[in-house]
Amino acid sequence: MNPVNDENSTMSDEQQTIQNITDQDYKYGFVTDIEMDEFPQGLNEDIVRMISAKKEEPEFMTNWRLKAYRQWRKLKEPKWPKLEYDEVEYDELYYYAAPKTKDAPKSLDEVDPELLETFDKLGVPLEERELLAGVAVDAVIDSVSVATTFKDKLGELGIIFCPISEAIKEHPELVKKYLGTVVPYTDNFYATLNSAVFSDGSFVYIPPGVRCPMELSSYFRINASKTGQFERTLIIADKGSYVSYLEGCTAPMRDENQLHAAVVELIALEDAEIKYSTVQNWYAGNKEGVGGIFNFVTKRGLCAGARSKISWTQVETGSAITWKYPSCVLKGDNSVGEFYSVALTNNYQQADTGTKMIHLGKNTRSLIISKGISAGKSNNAYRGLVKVNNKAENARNYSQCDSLLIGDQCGAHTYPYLEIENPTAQVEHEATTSKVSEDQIFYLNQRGISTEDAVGMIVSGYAREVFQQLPMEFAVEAQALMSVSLEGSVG
Amino acid sequence: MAENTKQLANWIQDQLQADHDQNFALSAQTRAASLKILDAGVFPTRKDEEWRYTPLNTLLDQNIGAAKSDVPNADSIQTFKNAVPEAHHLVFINGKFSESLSDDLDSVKESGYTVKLMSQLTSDEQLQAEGTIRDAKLSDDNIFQHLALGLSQFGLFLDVANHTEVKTPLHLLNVATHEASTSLTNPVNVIHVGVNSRLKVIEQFVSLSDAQAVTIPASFMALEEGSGLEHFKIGLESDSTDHVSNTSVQVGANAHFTSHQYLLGSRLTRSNMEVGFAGPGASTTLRGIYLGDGTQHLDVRTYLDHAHPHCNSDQHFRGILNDHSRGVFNGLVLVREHAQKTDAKQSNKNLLLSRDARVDTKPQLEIFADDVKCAHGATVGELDEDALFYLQSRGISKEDAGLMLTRAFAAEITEDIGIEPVQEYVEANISSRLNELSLANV
Repeated sequence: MNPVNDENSTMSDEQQTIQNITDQDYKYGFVTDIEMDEFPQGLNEDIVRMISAKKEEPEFMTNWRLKAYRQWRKLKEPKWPKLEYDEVEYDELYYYAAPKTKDAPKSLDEVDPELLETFDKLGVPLEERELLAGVAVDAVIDSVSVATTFKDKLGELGIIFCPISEAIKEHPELVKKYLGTVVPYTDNFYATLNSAVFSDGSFVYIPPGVRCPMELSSYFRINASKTGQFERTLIIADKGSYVSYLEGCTAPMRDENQLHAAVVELIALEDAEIKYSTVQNWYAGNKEGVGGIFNFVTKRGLCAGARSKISWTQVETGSAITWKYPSCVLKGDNSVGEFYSVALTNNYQQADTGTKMIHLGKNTRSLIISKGISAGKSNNAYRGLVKVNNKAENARNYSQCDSLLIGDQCGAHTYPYLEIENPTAQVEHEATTSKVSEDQIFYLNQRGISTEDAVGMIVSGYAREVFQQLPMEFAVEAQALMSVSLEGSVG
Repeated sequence: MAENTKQLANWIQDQLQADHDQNFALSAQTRAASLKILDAGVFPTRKDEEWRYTPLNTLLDQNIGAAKSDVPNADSIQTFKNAVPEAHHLVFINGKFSESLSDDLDSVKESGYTVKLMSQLTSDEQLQAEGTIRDAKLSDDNIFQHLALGLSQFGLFLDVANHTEVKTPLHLLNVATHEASTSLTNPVNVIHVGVNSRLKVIEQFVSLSDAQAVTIPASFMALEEGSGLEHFKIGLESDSTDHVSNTSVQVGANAHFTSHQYLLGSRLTRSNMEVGFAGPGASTTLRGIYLGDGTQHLDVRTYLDHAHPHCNSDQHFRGILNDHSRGVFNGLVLVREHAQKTDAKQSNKNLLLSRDARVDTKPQLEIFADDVKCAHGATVGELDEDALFYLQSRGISKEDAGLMLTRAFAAEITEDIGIEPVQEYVEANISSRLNELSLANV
């Protein structure tokens, strides 16, 4: 078959272990049986108005949504990513789904017990978290925030952490001032669609000089079949403040591809710092590549003030398709942007992900560490832009994009774009491709470690630089996720 | 206004409709597909990913006239010939072969290979030449390549027999002369190197005075098993010249292809080189420098197709950009499934010498095999301040220190040329270009 590879014995081992992993079922494959509020299929101005009315939004929001909708009708779905998928029938989707709850619950007792069970399966025991972990969870099931904890505690510091639908009603001045300033409603096909129909998401405002005392966290779940999930997150760190935000996702098994087009906007004012971490493990489709989430996400942070800092960390192991470029616009002088990413694809998963670092201010710095891992028949692409504007004196960027291939059926791609308009810039990009070497595995084998564990170990080591950036709770979860996703895929 | 923006397209339409009695370089059969694409006349815009950094407005606006092809006197081109003193010289004036200025084609034969004008090929030779073109897997999107294939009247076929080492390099000198209107040159050249044979080709593009010209050459090269071809391209055209070249190379098993490109002139250059490996053990070395000032726009593009195992590629391109010039590097290494044990290196380094210079670089990897070594790197920066300071502390003026460092930056590429007079010629041209530069920012 392959003239080069003569290690037949290893091959059969490999095949065996690859078999093992591909046979694995999605751990979180279940459906919560909760009644859904559903709108008619398809999308038109009436639907947009209905969503807005349902949320009791002020007029400026309704108009903004309608503008976005009209813009969206003019746009075409982008075809440039290295992704192949059947076209999404946008007019056959449901654009709103919410759990049937009459009034928002004030405490956990009021929360639908079935919902709580779902969280338990996901390993998000709300009550335990509240007591032990010190994490405030803004739990989102299919678009509407159901429970928010620690709100009072945060309130004492003046921190606003609530569903964005609530923020629109209660803090319209903040929403009006910042929504769409980083990702305008005209930005791109998916972001525009999101602007028109977004159902809910999180809103965070940290007042000047406040260091948020806990990790803020929001768990997203896609639940109803054929429901596009359109989250909208807006985080504002006022002067000299700090916040760390966690986002994690799991989704139940479904045969139909589900669309997810979220928008995340971050704004860091003078001396502020935002750390945004994501662990994404949505359903990736079965081993034949049927089903799985289509994940088209627009994430962008604006370092608006001097000395501000935005740091993105992502661990991407799920979704059938990932299209995601968390970006930093470094507008303030001396501002810093960081991007740490581990993207793992297996079976027929496809990922086209990376970042954009736009240097506008003086002495701005950015760092990109991207670790791609491809296994099975998947394709994993890094696509990143480093742009240094003509006025951005002394900009500094360092990018490192490594790919690890496991098996000879997968693809690993690197598409860096470097656009440099200022001679004082120092920009470096480096990329390498490697595989898990037999020597490494052999070494671990002779120490009594099984091949499966060895691969997990090697991959963890390979991605360590990124894991180190994650908050403790997340790092543990991410490590576990990697081992689960990789079990058996020995190269 | 609308008509003005489509001069080149109009010229093409005129050519397509004109009742030609000229001889075309290629057979009607081979031209047919290209003519269809030309008739559709879709030129790329900056919305095309492949052209996002290179605007074509000026090129498409060129008012193309009929080239008169006055033969300049031999003295005026002698300096260019001196670039490669010991070589067979073939001279083309505005794309047309000049017998009087060139060496005797028959004398070339003594060196063991055949050089013929496309229009004079025997039917067997034509089959072979056009076979090489077809093997190149043409893309419908590359309209400039089709402009050469469909409408070229001039071209060369170069064939080296099996087991022949050609000692004397071949020097192809393309001269653009001053004309009342812009001349368009679109030669099709085919180079075939037989089994275990060796050949060196130096292609030079120059202008006399400030000739206005559009040069759109298409080259096709095929290296048979175990052979070697060294190709040098030296671009020294005037700053009213636009140059869009396409080179397509097939490298057979255990053959080695070397390419050096020195893009020092023109207003706009776009050099596209596609190298495909046709058998295991093939390898290639690509080197290049693009040096721009004024408002020059220099765009280097490479596409490497690793379709077989055990193939190596090594690319290193450097940009030196001054004034308002723009440099673009866009390289793609594709490692196909089963191309195990591939070793691919790709490096692009850029030096920005002025406030308004700009560079866009895009080194890309697409990898579908796991047991490979692939690495790429790109850097952009200005002259090292510490190095400048060191030289100044030794009593060297800041300007001289800047020149010295820039020359050294270029020398890391030119020292690999391997033909001494060519290396000296290229380095002298780089130095004189650098001396002209007002290194204001240094």
